[in-house]
Amino acid sequence: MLRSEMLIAMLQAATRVTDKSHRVWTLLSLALRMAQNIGLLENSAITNVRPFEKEQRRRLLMAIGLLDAQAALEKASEPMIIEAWLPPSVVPLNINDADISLSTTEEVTARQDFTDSTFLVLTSKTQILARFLCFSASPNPQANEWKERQSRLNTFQQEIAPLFATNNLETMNSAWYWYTKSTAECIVAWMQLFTVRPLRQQIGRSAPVVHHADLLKLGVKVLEETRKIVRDPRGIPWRWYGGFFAPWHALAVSLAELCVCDDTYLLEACWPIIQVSFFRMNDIVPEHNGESVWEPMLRLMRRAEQKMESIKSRGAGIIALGLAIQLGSEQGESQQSFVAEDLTPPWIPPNDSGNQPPTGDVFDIWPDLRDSTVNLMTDMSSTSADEIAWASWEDFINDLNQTDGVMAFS
Amino acid sequence: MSCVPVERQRLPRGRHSASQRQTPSVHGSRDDGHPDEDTTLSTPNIETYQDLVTLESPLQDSSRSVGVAGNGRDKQRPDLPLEAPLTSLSYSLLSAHASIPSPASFVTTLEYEGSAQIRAQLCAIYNFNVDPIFKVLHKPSITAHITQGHPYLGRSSSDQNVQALDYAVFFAAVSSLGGDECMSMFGVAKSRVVEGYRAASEAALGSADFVLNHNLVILQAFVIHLVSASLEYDHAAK
Repeated sequence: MLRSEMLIAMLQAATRVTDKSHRVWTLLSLALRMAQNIGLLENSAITNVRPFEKEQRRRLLMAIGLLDAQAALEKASEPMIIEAWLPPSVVPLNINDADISLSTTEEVTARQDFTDSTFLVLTSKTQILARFLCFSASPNPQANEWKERQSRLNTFQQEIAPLFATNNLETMNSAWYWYTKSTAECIVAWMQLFTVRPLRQQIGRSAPVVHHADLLKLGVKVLEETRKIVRDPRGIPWRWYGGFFAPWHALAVSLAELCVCDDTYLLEACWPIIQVSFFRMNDIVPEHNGESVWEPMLRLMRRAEQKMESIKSRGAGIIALGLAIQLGSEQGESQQSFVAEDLTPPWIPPNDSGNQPPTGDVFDIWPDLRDSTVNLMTDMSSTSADEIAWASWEDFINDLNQTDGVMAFS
Repeated sequence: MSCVPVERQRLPRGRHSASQRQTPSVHGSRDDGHPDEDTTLSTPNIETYQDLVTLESPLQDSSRSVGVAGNGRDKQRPDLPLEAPLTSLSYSLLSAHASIPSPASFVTTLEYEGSAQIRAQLCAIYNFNVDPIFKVLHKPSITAHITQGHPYLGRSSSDQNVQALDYAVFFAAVSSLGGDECMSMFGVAKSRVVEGYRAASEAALGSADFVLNHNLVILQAFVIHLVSASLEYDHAAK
């Protein structure tokens, strides 16, 4: 057999497995080796190349890094590329493609507004932050400090805010601007969830002090907004990619918080949305991520259902809602949508404008939750409520840890 | 500046239409052999690039545009033809994949059957659907190469690394289409079209010996192939 045929056979074998999370898993390591061979991971390798090639190399490294981070998040495992390999200098420039060409000899200056590369810069910064917040392979001890984690997120918000500046109304009203900004909002919220609810155990650390109602609201809001992006017809051209999040994490945070929440009104408002998300992911996550993530999620869901059963016993209203959701799940997407939209919690305005330019120096997310996110973490001492909620989350990540096929979190 | 034709001519139908094969040319550079292999064009023409940036979408039909992207660029989504399916192309894709001859002959067959318009259309679809969200390439460079036959980053169009990139781009483009769009363009189910382009992309990567032949272009091709290979066949069904 010729070597080229063997290579083709290898590609076929690696990418035709049914488990989506495994389709690129093995080949990514090959891509990383190829990247190492041409010096993509060496900062010194780009000092003597022309601006065009420098930018091409940055883009390529970030593309491999993104696939690596996504594969790791989908499987709740560790990435191959660690944060220390990705200094700020590897982030591509925020430029338009017209700003640079093969013949460019002068260094190109990054723009401070919305460009062809804004989405790329956003996802590049996100994957670096995600590596700091999410993975135990990070040797950075600061990753264990709650305040440092929050500080890194705040810096991230400050860095991405200028990317969405534009005076061009056509740009601001474009589908692509809406998609990019909506995705950024979800990413910031998602990173906020990761800041206080990491995927690794924080051995010896006290529980983060948070406003638990706000954390539950934020988790549910991420589920809601992620779904909106997927369903909005403006996003059809980019729907193929399937989103940048591991939505199961937001679902897990919501369920864990729900299990320890005693606000009946809030629980009844959140439960239908959580159920819809659960049923939807139940069709997708086990196939895409394998059983490693979903089995612990099923156990968490059972705990949440028991909690809601106890609420039900105090009032019959929730029964009707639960039944409606179940019907929606069985009878198709349209009914799910109807139920979800009908039961949008009162803190979410019906006409949430996604096209308002951000104000101030920090990239703001959803105005209705602004106070919640700003004050999510407090300087107060942890309370028993914090400890109970943290224990609820640790139960879940311990469960993830013990599931076969998942790397141990240190 | 040159323009890409808006209307695609219908290709001859059936597997035995080889004698009729006269695929329409975009710039006379892709029909017989590769007259674009002039390596003296190692430095791209910047004016042409800028023109392409502003007139990127080869198929403009405001009635079907989805939205506006960027600072006035990508003004409309590349439209898809509504006319009869590309039966011969479909047959070649499927038959080639079913028997898998040598990788080189597979690629040659696909290249021959795929008209310049199809290549330009797939490039436009890539630029609109894939590039913004998974930005690996420099759009003016890849567009000038695919639609005008310019060298890519100083490499000739017949360079195997560049050919691997071409097919990775085409594979990504068809993977990004909805099932109905794919049916309109090729006349067969998306899963079958994607399988054809996936096989072509794999063959091109294999021919370029991508595991040992390391360079920026082949790695671009490999990464774009990977992101496409990770997708479901029909995202529109989700």
